[in-house]
Amino acid sequence: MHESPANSRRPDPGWWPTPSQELLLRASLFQGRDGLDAWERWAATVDLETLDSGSFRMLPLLYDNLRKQGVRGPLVDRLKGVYRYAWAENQALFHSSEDTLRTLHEAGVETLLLKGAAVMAICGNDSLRLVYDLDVLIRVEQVDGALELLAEQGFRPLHDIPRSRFRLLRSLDLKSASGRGLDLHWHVLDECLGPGGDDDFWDASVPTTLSGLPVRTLNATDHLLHTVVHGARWDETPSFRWIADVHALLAAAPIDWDRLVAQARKRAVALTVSDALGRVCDRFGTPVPESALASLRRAASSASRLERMELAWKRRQQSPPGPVGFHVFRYWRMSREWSPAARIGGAIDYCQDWDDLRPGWRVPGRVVRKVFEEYA
Amino acid sequence: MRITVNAPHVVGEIIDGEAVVVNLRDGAYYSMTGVGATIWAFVEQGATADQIVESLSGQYPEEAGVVRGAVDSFLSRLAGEDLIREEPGTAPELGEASANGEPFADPVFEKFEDLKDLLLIDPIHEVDETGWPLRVGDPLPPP
Repeated sequence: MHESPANSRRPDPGWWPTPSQELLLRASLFQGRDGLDAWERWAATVDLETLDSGSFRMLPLLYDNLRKQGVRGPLVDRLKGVYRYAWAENQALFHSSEDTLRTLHEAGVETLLLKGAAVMAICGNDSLRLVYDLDVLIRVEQVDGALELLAEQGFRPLHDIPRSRFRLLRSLDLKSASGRGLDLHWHVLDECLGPGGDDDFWDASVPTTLSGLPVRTLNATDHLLHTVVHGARWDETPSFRWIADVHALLAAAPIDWDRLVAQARKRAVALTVSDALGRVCDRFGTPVPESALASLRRAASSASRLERMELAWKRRQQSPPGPVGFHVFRYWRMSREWSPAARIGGAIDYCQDWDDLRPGWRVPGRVVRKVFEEYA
Repeated sequence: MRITVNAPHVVGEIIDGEAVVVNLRDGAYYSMTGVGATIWAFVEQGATADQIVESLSGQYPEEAGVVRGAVDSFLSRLAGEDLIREEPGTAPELGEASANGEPFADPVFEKFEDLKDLLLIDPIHEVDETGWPLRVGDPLPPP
């Protein structure tokens, strides 16, 4: 299994696609003259041999759009091979995940499918993009039991993370002995790690199937929220496929725009959603109703100063956001509803749990050192 | 009897006139083009053998004498690979499935034994215009 082609170039870090990636998106999403122009310009300037890994993952969608328009040629034939590869790879992943999900279900562990596999299930197409791992949400109180079951199936965490840190994270990346990936989530969004933060998602989940196995997933509106909030942030490997996912979701299912606005407001991500969807509409003509954009803008106008600072921090185009900002914003979100006194005590607990740091008097020294390392 | 895909362990998709099929139980990967892909498209619809013969005979009237034998032989091979099964039921209303004007040729499939190995082939850097799953210079597997 290729996480990306062996010789592919690392993409430019950031959160918004580069001009070449924008062309690829247009060629993948648009039909008619707009799409074909983008395809011709992209094909004339890009070298598949040195394609960045983010673009590589878009190639199945590109091929699907080209074949629907009857585009032919040697490069298209090669893309067809990538499409075949994506389809076969996804089938193998979905099939091998059946036993894992069945085991969890039989043990009483509830699951919701998230991200790539789930979006493709909603869209009814198993080949729209390469899915390297399965993203599964479980209830936060079932994490330990699920990890035990998964360990019995040969899954191990990719990184050695102290158990104390789990409450400050949304998920854990696991890999099986055969190399199959599974991202175990106990929260949907980094922005909502508090108690009950996922109740709305669970309550409004919908049934679907994965490789014939009945499963549940977020409804299309909540998928859209998840896609935008998770995707539109700085990443070393920018996942600009979130823009393609937005288009796919809008085409596949009706969106409850009132719910989207309400959820974005409730989770203090209206600014993020408004900004990202606004940009996508401007650049890609995404069919979001003007009334929904206006509602999002109204919700975003009441964003706090910290929310605005957080968005700027997440959207740096070049340098990676540093860990100090990461912890400051994460803690701010976790403690939004707390009293000032509880926030001070909670901050010590946060630092201790993140680094599994005992006793507590070691925390101030560690914090000073981290800040110094980032800013010195 | 209707003939159907041996789901759930067999999955297939028609990609621009080519049927790609995977037997997830034993990891074999199949590619079918031309008349073979047309027959697979009928199998996906749960057609009867008679319906497949009738449709192909209509598409290739000059070959009507050999169509029955070719279809029966191909279906037999697909069954031998555990890719299809028979199910009781009435003949369904069939959608369109044609070989796009290609001349009639005995339907065949190419079989690649191990999907796991195929998935180790880089679909960009180790292939030419033929595309994955063939590496540059690899011969087609024997039909």
